Amino acid sequence: MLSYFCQSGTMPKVLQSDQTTGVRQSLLAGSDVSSLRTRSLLSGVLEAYAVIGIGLIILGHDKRLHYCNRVADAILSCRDGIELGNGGTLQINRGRGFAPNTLFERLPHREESDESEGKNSSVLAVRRPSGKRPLAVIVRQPLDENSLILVFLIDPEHPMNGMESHLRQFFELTPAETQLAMLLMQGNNLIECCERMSIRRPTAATHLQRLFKKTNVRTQSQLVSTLFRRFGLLSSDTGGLHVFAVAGASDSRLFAVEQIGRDIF
Amino acid sequence: MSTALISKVAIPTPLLNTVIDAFDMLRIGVLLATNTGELLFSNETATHILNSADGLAVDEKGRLTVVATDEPRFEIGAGGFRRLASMARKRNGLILSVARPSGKGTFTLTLRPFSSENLASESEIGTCMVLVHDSEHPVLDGTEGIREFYGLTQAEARVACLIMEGRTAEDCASFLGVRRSTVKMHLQNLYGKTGVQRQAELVALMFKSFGNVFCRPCVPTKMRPQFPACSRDAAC
Repeated sequence: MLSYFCQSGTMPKVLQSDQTTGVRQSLLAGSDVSSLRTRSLLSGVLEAYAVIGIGLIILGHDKRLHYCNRVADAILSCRDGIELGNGGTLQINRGRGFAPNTLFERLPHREESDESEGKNSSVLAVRRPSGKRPLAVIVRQPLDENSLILVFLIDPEHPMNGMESHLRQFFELTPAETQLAMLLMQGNNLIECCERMSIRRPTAATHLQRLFKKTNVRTQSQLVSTLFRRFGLLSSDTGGLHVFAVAGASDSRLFAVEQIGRDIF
Repeated sequence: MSTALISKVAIPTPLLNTVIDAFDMLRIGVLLATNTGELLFSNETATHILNSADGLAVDEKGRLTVVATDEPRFEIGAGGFRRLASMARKRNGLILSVARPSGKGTFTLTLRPFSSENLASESEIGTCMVLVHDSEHPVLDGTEGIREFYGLTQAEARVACLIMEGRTAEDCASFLGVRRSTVKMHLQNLYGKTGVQRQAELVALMFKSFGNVFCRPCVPTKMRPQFPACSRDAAC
């Protein structure tokens, strides 16, 4: 575990990993759930998972729902593959004609030795009766009595709302180029993109060549890779995120550095 | 100042504890800092990034800084980060790009302020979450999950990860020291197992499934899904 909690105002330049446990315990000891400050922090921390498109579910030791963020809520409310059963347990729903079973019946049996090696999480593919791509479900068992069961729900068909503005501003794309980039990121091929955008193939090819030039790549898969590696699955559906650049040595082509630098500083 | 803040920002419940622990399962860097730039928390990925001090680092006072080579005015020191954080507050979020002195790919920082209207008073120091996307982060780490999820062989998983990093089939062949036809064969198997038709579609699917998380799991073989037939077939 390399997580780091700052203990005081002074801090070594290189972060130490072995301090973490002690600091965390001292933080736990001084906890105050009721303070507005802490609640605000908690909501902010939970929000982080929704921002990167991960459905987050926390289950108590009784395997009943404790918390679920809005991405997980959207997935569960579809009742497509996984749903909330009676009493707040997670159920695998295989469609009509199948009795639902609980998520934990499907988990591999956990060996004590696995835990010591840190293998306390499992990945499941949950098929969806609707025929959409299977959900990735990552379940992590509690590390100790002070933590709970954590479930990540990842929908490969999760809509990428709000990415458009990041792409457009970062790479200075036109609206058509942005739309094409988004469609490619969703796994469409160029012909499908043409249909969705109601444009002809040569037009799409022109947009694609300009996209390659602006993102400095040569192939479609490089383009998709670059866009995902730079932005992941950031969403901005809680409000407008604005893109600015901080200058450095390289890659200055991408950003109007001078102008933006004045804007911020 | 910082000590007082910590006592108020104490980890309150097993819930918060679990959620913060789980930040280490994320491939992207997560930092919590006060609006003045003092670092409160960094997850595993972010700690690696800060320790490499290439573009983004922590100074002696525990403040986030941007290590700029020839542009000192862009340093996000105390004042700089405060200004960034206040802009992030006004706009409900801020995205910026940080170039690295080493010339490697840039970082994308996403600043998210914690809603300040909930705070008891203005005098309290606000907190800001910083998400760091590292465009050079190797995809090859923590691929056991991908392998188990799609039922890939070691060689196929390696090719999938290299393709995810933006390499062409030729690059993969020279990187792995195999012939191009071998890579092509692995790619065909990958398409079959994941139910896609093209390289770019494979990249998109992989990123949308596991782009943000590490998975180091153990899944028994019988739980593997049969993708090619099932992904579009409601009957199974």
